Amino acid sequence: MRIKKQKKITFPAIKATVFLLAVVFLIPVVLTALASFRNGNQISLKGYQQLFFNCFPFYRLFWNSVFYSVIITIGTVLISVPAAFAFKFASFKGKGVLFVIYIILMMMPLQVMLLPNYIGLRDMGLLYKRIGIILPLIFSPFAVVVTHQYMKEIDSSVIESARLDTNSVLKIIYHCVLPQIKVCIAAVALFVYADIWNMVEQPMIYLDDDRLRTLSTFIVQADQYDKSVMMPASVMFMVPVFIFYLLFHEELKEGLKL
Amino acid sequence: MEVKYMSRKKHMMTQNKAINNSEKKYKAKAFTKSLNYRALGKTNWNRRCILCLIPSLLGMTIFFFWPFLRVLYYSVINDQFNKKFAGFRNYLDTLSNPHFQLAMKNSLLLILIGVPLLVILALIISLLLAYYLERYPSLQDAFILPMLIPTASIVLIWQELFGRFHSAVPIYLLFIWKNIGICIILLTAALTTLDKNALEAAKIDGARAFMLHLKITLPMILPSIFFTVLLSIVNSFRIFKESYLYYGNKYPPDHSYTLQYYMNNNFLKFNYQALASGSILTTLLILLIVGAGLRLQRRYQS
Repeated sequence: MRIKKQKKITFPAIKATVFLLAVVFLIPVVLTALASFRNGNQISLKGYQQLFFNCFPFYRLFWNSVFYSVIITIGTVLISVPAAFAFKFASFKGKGVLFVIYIILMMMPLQVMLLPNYIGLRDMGLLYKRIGIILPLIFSPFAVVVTHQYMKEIDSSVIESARLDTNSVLKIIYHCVLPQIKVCIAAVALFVYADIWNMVEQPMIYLDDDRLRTLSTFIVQADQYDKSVMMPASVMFMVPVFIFYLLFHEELKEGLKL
Repeated sequence: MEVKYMSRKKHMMTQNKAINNSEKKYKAKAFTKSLNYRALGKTNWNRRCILCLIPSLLGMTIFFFWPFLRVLYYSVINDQFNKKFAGFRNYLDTLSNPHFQLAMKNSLLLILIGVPLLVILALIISLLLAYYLERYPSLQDAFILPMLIPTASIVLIWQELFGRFHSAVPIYLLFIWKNIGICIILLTAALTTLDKNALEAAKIDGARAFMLHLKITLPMILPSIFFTVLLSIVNSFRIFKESYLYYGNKYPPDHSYTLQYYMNNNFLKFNYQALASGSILTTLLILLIVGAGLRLQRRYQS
C-alpha cells in the first residue's frame, strides 16, 4: 500500500521533471528568438530591417561562416573516411599505437594546440589567410576515430568479394563501404559543421582581417555595431544549424557511437 | 575389326590422356597463377589500404606532431633568441605562478563538480527517455539541439539571464547545456543495444522500480559511462569559448579564470616559454586523467 502511494506521487513527478527540463533547455533559444522581435517595449521587425538593409558586414561574415563550414566539412569527410578504412583493414606495425595517438589528439583542448598550430602556420606562411584556417581543421582526429568505431559493424564479406572484381581501394570504399556507413558520415558531417560554425578562437587568432572572419566574431565585436541588430543576427546564426538538425536528427542520434 | 577397335580404343585413351594432361596442366597453372595473384593482391591490397591513411597522417604530422615537438623544445629553453637549455626551470616557474595555480584550481573544480553533475543528469534523462517516456521521442531533441546551437548566438540571452550571478554558475550551466546532448546520444546508443527483454521484468512504473532498474542497467553500460565521463572531462577543457564569449573581451572574474585563459593570455603576450610549459603540463594532466580512466575501466571489466 505504501509502495503504491509512493509510486503515485513520485514517479509522475520525475517524468514531469524531465518534461520541465526539456522546456528549460529550450528557453535560451526561444528567448533569443522572442528578443529578436522586441524593440523597446513593442513588437517590431525593426531589428531585422536594420540587419538586412543597414548592416552589410553581416552578409560577408555569414558567407564566410558558410564557406569555412562547408569546405571544412567536405574536406574532413574526404580525409577521414579513407583513414578510418585504413585503420580498420590495413595491417602494419604500430597501428595500435598510432590509433591511441589519434584518440589522445582528439581529446586535446584547442588552447594546448594553439601555440603548436600557430608556429606551424607561421612557418608555412599560411598565417592570416583563409587556407590557414581550413587546413589544420580538415585533419580532424575526432572524425577518424568516430568513423572507425562505426566501421566495426560493417559487413566485411562484401569487401572480400568486391576485391575479386576490382583492385582499386577507392572504388571499394565508394561502392561497398560508403553505403554501409552513410548514417555515420551524416552524423559526423553535421557534428563537424556545427563545430566549425561555432568556432571563435581560430578566426580571432589566425586571421587579422575582419573581412575574412566569421559570424561568431560579429558577436564578439558587438560594440562596433548597432545594438538592435544583435538579437536578429543571433537568430540568423542559429537558423542554418537548426534546419540541418531538422533534416538529419535521426542520423545524428544513430551515427555517433563510441 | 579388332585392330580397328584397338586402335580406336587406344586413340581414345591417348586422347583422354591428352585432355587429362592439359586439364591438369591448366589447373596447375591456374592454381599457381591464382596463388601468385592472391599473394600479390594481398600485399598490394595492404599497401593500398595504408596509402589511404597517408593524407590524414601527413596533415597530422605537419599540423600537430611536428609543432608539438617544437613546443616541447620551447618549454626547455631559456628564450627563443639565445636558445639556451633551461632544464625544468620553465616548468617550475609555471607551477609556482599564482595565475597558473588559480587556473588549475578552477579547471579541476569544473572537472570535479561540473562533469559528475552533467553525466548523472544525462544518465537519468537518457534512462527515462529510453524506457519510460519512449512515447515522446521528440523530448530527446530538446536536449540534443543545444549541442549544435552556436554559443555566440545564445550568449547575449545568457548574459541577460545570469548577469547578476557573481560566481561561476552561469559557466557551469552553459557547460551542461552545451554538452548534455552528446552525453545523451552516447548513453542512449548504449542503452538501445541492451537486451530489452531482460529489462522488461524491471520495468514497472514506480520510483522504487526505477532505482532497481538503475541498479540493473548501470553495470551493463559501464564502459559507455566511462567513455562519456572521459569525453565530458575533455569537453570541460574546451569550455573556454563559452566563457570567453560570456565575459566578452574583458578579463574574467577569478572564479572563472581557467587554464585556457592562462594559455590565451600568455599567447597574446608572446610569452612562449610560459605557454609551452603550460601546454605540456595541461597535456600531461589530460593524459593522466585519460590513462587513469582507461585503467579503471579495464579493472571493472575484468
